[in-house]
Amino acid sequence: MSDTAKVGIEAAVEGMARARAEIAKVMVGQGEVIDLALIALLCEGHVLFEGVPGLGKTLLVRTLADSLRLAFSRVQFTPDLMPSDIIGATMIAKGEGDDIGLRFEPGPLFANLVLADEINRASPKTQSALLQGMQERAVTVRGKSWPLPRPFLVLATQNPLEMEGTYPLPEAQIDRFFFKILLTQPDAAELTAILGRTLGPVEAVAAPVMEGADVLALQAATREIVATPSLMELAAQVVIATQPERPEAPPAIRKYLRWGAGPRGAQALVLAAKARALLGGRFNAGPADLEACLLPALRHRLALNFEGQSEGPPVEDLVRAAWDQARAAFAFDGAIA
Amino acid sequence: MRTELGRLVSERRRSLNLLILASRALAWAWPFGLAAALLLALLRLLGLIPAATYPGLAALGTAAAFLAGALAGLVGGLAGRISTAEAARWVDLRLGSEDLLSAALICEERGLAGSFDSEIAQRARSLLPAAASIGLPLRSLLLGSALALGMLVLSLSLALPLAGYHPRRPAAAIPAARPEAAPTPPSGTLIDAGPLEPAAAAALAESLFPGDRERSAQAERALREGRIGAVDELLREAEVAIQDRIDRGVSEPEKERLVREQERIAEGRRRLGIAPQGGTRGPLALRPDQGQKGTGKGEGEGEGGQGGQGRSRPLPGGDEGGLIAPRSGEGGEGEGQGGATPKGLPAPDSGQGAVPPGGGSEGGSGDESRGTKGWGTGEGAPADRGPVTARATGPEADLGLGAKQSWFEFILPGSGAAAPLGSLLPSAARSAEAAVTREGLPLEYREFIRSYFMALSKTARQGASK
Repeated sequence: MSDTAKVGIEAAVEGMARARAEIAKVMVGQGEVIDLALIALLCEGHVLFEGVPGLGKTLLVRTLADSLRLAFSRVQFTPDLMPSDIIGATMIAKGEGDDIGLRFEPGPLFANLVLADEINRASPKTQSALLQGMQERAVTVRGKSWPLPRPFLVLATQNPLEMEGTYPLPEAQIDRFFFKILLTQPDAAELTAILGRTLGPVEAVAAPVMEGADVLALQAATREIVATPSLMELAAQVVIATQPERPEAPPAIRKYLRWGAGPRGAQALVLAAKARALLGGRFNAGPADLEACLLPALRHRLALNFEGQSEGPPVEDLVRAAWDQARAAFAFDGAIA
Repeated sequence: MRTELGRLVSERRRSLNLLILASRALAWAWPFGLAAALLLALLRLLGLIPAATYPGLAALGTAAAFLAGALAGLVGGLAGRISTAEAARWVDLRLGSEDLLSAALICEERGLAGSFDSEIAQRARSLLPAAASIGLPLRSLLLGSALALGMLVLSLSLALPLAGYHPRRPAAAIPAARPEAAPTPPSGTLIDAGPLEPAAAAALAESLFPGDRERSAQAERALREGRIGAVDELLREAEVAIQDRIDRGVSEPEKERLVREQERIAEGRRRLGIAPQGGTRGPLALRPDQGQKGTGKGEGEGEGGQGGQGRSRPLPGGDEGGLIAPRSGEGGEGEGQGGATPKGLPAPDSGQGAVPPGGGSEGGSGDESRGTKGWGTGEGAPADRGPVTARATGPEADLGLGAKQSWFEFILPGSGAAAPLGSLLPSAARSAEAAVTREGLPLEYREFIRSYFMALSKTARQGASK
């Protein structure tokens, strides 16, 4: 990477910090959620937000798009939503002159940031169409592949309540989400600030601070961040420890999990650590970065068994148990520890 | 070309590996040493190691096991050495630098070819002074050293005092533990000969207890195992039994036979190299240099017997010479008035040890007992100075000496009824024997109590003959 490019990267990192500040102007609290969303953006990883209605999920995504000057679209998933409603459809249209022919009309998926609201309310068929686009970053219509714009990021939301009439995402498809981020209720101070900002005469708006090209450059730079072999080994140990069939797994994981994280989980973990390091202005990732990304990267990749669903601890506790186990296995000899 | 960072990490790696080796060696050494010491002590207790060879074997075996453990630890430590990358990670961990030095090392190894390698190396260089100032974690090594040293001392201190230990022999008889030179047993004795051959043991046991199968079998087993103390114990039991029978009154021919039995037992003791009747190496034995002279004032003009060490009990006759000689303690200087007492306590043995632990009433020809005078009294004719009583063990055991009462009478307090002491002693001795057996008293105390009654018996006999 040339020096000019490096300067550009440094500027982009600064820009990311400014974007964060812009988002914070609109979003009250949820600082960690914003950081994780930016990390996912740098990794070009899709995010599944889970939280009760009214916590600002849509606002966050829209503000992110505004601050980064990215194309934004929103799809409200419903049971009768069809794949063509999100991918687009081929229709008869009049072209230039008098030519009338079939023309592909892109759906809302053709945007940089796509908000898939309440993704679990759509039928599995529509979910699959979305997930294909997420994975391949292209859609195929009538045998022709249409690449999706870059950066491309799907930010899906899921309501943990009102599960009646929903189609929970299969584990194999959930695995394609880079992060699963939980949104929590604001505390009293944050709630007061929300009231002050939203009920005034002037609505807060995030100013654009970056372009899509800057985001792409940052995404490329993220992969250049150095992760030492020992860090990658640690990530691998963590993922291995989440697999209940492994002897390295802690007892709780062996008892309560049906299966654990796989290679995608390990990739997400290390890549997220790199992105976090970049956002922190560092050029190498460390164990603290890994630990900070542990829960969003792994929590949705662990499947509880029946016993785990009925009486087991939260998945987050199991992820932490795997982390502790991996750290212990990675510890130095007692003589120099 | 090795950079400054590379050199620093390599140095750290060497130091840490040395630390690991040393710690592993120490961690493995002491369990080996302790196990060896315990094993040797167990073998000694089982009689599988002769007393003579045990001290050297214990010291050598413990030290050898310690070294073997250290060697095993070194081998384990070699397998657990850390690499340069791990050393860099260790430094990162200490600095809290989030793998910066590790990453910089990788960047330098690949020639700073990555996009951010130069920046990483530059940032790492700024951390070098802090990295160089990190001290080695010697705390665990020091703790390990202290533990190993402590365990080594414990192992040796566990092993060496057991040298010469015999389960049935008082601990004070251990040659290594004795402050002064052990007395030389008579030539041709068996006391330090170790275990005997089965045939020899059987023959000797039979000669010691010709008509007593049970004791003979026990003695044979003890001789085969080299437990001379157990044989001594059996001889004493036989001796007490004989004395008991004599005291109860037997016909003249039977008495002569019993006396011959006593002589045979004494001969057996001599052959075994055991000092007669409590005069062995018992811990309660008094050494000549420990005796304190008591001075007997009174009509007897006699020089009081040498006071024994330890607390002296007031005795009839006012003599306060050391009656009982515990293992240590200061003996009061006897200043008795035995001679002046109208019916004062005559010196039971006139300078002889009246209390066998020190010397034994039988003459104290045993090792350390030689020269012990026990509780001394003034010599001379008893003079009537009114009743003087000395409480020995309780109100029921007052020995009263009144103007009309013989010293050899046992007066029940309050009742005035008197009974010859000699007639009470056998049953009292049997009761005491049963009590000490039942209560599981330590051997030396049992010896002491037996000796006490033996002494009283002899004194009573002498008094009766007068």
